[in-house]
Amino acid sequence: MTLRPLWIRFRRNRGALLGAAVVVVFSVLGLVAPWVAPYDPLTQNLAQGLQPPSFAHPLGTDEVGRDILSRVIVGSRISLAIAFASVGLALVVGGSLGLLAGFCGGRVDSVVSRLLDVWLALPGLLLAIVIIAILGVGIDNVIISIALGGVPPYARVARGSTLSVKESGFVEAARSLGAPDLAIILRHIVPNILAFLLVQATLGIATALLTASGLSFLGLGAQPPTPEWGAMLADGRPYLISNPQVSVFPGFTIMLVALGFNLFGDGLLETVTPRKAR
Amino acid sequence: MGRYLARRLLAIVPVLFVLSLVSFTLIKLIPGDPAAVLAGINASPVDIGVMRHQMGLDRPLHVQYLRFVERAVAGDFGRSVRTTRPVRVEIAQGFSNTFQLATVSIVLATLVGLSLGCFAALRRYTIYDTLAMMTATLGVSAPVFWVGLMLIVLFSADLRLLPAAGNVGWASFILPAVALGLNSSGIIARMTRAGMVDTLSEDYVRTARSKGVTETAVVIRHALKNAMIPAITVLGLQYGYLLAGAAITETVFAWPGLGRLMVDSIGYRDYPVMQAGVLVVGVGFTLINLLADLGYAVVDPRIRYG
Amino acid sequence: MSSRSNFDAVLKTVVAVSLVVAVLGFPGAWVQTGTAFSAQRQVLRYVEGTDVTPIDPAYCVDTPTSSIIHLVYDNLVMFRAPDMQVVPDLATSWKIGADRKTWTFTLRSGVRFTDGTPANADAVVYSIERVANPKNASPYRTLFDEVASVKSLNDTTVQIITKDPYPSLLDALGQVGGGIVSPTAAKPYEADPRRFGEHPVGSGPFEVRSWVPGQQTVLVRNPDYWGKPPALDEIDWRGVPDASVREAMVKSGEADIIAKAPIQDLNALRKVPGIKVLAESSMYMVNIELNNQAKPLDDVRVRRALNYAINKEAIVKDLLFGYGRVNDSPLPFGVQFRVALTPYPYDPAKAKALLAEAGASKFTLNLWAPHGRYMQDSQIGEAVANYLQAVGITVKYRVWEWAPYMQALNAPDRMALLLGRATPGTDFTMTRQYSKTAWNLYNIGLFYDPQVEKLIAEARIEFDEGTRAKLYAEAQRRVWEDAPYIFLDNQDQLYALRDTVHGFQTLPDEFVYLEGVHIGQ
Repeated sequence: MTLRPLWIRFRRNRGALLGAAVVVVFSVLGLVAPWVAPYDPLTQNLAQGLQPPSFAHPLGTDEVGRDILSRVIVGSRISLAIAFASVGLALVVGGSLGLLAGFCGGRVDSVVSRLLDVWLALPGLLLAIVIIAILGVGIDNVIISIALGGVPPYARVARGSTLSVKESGFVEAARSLGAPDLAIILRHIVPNILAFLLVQATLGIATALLTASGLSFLGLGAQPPTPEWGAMLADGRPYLISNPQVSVFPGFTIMLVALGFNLFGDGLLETVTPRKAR
Repeated sequence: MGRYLARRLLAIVPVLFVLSLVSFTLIKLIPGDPAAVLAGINASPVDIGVMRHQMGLDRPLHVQYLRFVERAVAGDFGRSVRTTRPVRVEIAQGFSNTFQLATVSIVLATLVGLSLGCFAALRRYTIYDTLAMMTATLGVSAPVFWVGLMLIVLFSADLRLLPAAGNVGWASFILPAVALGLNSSGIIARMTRAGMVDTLSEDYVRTARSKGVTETAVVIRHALKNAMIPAITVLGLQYGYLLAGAAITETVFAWPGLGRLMVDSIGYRDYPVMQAGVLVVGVGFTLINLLADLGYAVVDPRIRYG
Repeated sequence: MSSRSNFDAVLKTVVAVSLVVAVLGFPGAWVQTGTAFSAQRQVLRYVEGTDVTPIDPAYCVDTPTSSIIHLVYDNLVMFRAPDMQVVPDLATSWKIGADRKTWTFTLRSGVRFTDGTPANADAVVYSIERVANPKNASPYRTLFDEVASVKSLNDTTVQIITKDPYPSLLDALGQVGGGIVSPTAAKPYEADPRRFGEHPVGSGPFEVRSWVPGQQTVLVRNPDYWGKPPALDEIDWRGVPDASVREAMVKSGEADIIAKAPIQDLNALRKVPGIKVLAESSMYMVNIELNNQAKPLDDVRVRRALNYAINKEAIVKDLLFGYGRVNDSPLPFGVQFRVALTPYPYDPAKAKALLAEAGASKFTLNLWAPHGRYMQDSQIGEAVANYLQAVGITVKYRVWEWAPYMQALNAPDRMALLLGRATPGTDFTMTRQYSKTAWNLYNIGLFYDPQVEKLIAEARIEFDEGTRAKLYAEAQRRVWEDAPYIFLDNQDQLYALRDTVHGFQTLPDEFVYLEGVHIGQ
């Protein structure tokens, strides 16, 4: 698939463009955060606690006087890192499982499919909470637990695409020419399923972001004083009525970024999926 | 149909077995000593030892597992460490409350989602379509707990219109159902639109329209029915997800449901409740998916004979 | 296109009808206005931050449920406002024998439990033995460590003999663990005593109509109560974890009283018509308890340095919004024989100097705090971590859920733990926190000073109040100088009530006395 016609199709979807813009802006922000943030996100100033938005602090301050704007900016680095890492991990694990099941077929496929059934029976958030209870709190374990909870969709997609590739005859042809399995996998299957996996991943980032912030909200994720968006939202709960800025801004940012990734992912999906004529 | 049902039921058995193993193992892995938790903060090591023997925790693991399954099948999950009530009472109470909330949410979400999806499909490729779908995506992207808190602040604290917490009458369903349903309505809207757009451009639909049948009639008779298939999948998944306990929403609204019970139990290290909870949630989810599959089979005959 | 506008019309009608239905079916029914006059039933809706645990004097360890215990059960004696004096409850009077070890309590006659069983001396003996029995593993077992025997001499006379002279016996009997339960109701559960909480039976002003954990606990007036009948007919008690949600509830009228009102909204709440705010001093003292045996915290200079490093005034002013005071004694506020000492001032330079002197200029400190247990607990923990880092200490800060935290209190690698304590009773507090006999039980800081140990032991058996005061004063001074903790603050207890609630009273130990409450204009 060449890229240019894809790009033209993508471009026509206004929502997807908006999403792409958001994704780019926040990804860049995450990279340059420490140099862009006006204040140190960790410096406390008790006397300046719970200030509403002002010129000095455009988004106000939290309960120990830290600048919210800086924390939101630096938080993009952390929250996005968590989201990307957990999705990446889930993609690799799930993709490999699905590929294995689709490629080998037979008993392997049955076993993996049963495994996926059980996996799917446990909702992601619950699984994540239990895994964190086992491993302990903290960012690393959040990544692992979200990844583990999110594996099934990637496995399904990978398995389905692998099966399609198999059916299209490439695999048989390559085998009859004497190519070893590993080469077949790497040269034929992976490139063909990668696109679908990546689209799934883009949509998965939004879910991972929301799950991570949900876990932090429950106190199970990033630990204080880390400026992760969900944790900030949780910190602001007691002050919701009098000083909503502590919760509103991080919450709004989560929504904005999730929206961006969803729109972007939708656009990708539409671009990549063959459609009937209008 | 009967054979399909039998086949599906048979396929579930190994899943249930693995689920019981998983719930037992996962909870066992959580660090902490259930005997110490039950014996209390001032118990001496001897007290804890006695407690451990009473709870059967000094037996080998496979014996413990078998006892767990044996009792589980009979519905006996022991007593909650936190409240001393039988675990099945706690779970039943939690399940009932979550079921009520989930049902209301799904009904709300379906109404909103179907309407939004139809609206978008009928106005497809116009600005209204884009706006409607962006609204749907917004619903999917919003952090539910944040929305819930905002709703409470606005409708309970400021406007004093609706109750803020707990299951205290029909009005207390509104805010949590809206917060929960936001997600599902977005998904349902997107699915509906996608399904309907596909169907609306089918030849037979165009034929019906050219014969003068109004678009409303076309919508109702053909497109909607075919859009039901993906919608049922989504409904099943969403219902299952909601039933599993939208834990965070329940925490925010102090809703005495299953999700909140699980979160509290894990925080409290209430092992009997945790084990039963994971098992019940898993089994429930599996059954819901089975129902969804059956729903498929009812709507689309092709599946029954596949 | 006409077909399109047809659908339009249908859609618009559906939306319009739904809106009308929603507005008309306005949820007015649930809002109780809360102004129940004497002709109607007086129902109080009370909302706390945590749920109600089993209502059993032998096993209840959380303060909110303890208030319910006092409403449902009688003790021999009780603590009363405002100075935590011990006053008669089920016992009308008592005499101490010449050996100073034999106590004879005379009980009120004719009192019955709500199940009809007489609340007599046998019941008292049964209740005390139930708590003291090691097989029952009650957290209050040690309350009666000093009791050698408890006997019923006749229906209205109980005799308690202590091992040594023990003036604090009254303190022990007034605690939650001293609640008198109905033997008839408790006997069926002797094999599994924790289950008594499912069917609690006492003789207090209220009885438990229903207890549904996670939802609601309903107490109703005990018509046969021997004392002054309460004005309330019913108390509906709920636990809602979110402070903002509780605030919403009291503002909307869903709750009549909320406990643990959000601290930063109090001033705004005062101005809301229909709502009044109550901020009372509380016994709860929050400190960072240090492991006195862990290096380098075993050096008193290091512990003092940690105290100099924290700006406690700022914490009280900015994090507690002034609703509290800097701790100036090892004993909680409101405890008998407490003396006010001089808090360690905020002096980071001195802190650094002391650390250098002790050779501990740079070390790693594990600082742990619970979340949502005390007011601003994790926020205070963060602020403390910040101050400590400013004097060169590397802080590993960790926030815990309450249940694992309770188990972590005895973890071997503990170093600094944020903890709140409030025990009425001087002897109890001194022993639990500063005596070696309580090592790894309540004295998680493993503090030990042989002088203090001697003073505590002497004061325990001393009946003369003047002598006791001197002994305890000296003990407090020594503990204070030894700085086993980073002493932080004494908190206030914060409530928000609707204007229609009258007669609401609390004690420094945060027990709420709802017997005197009535609802009216």
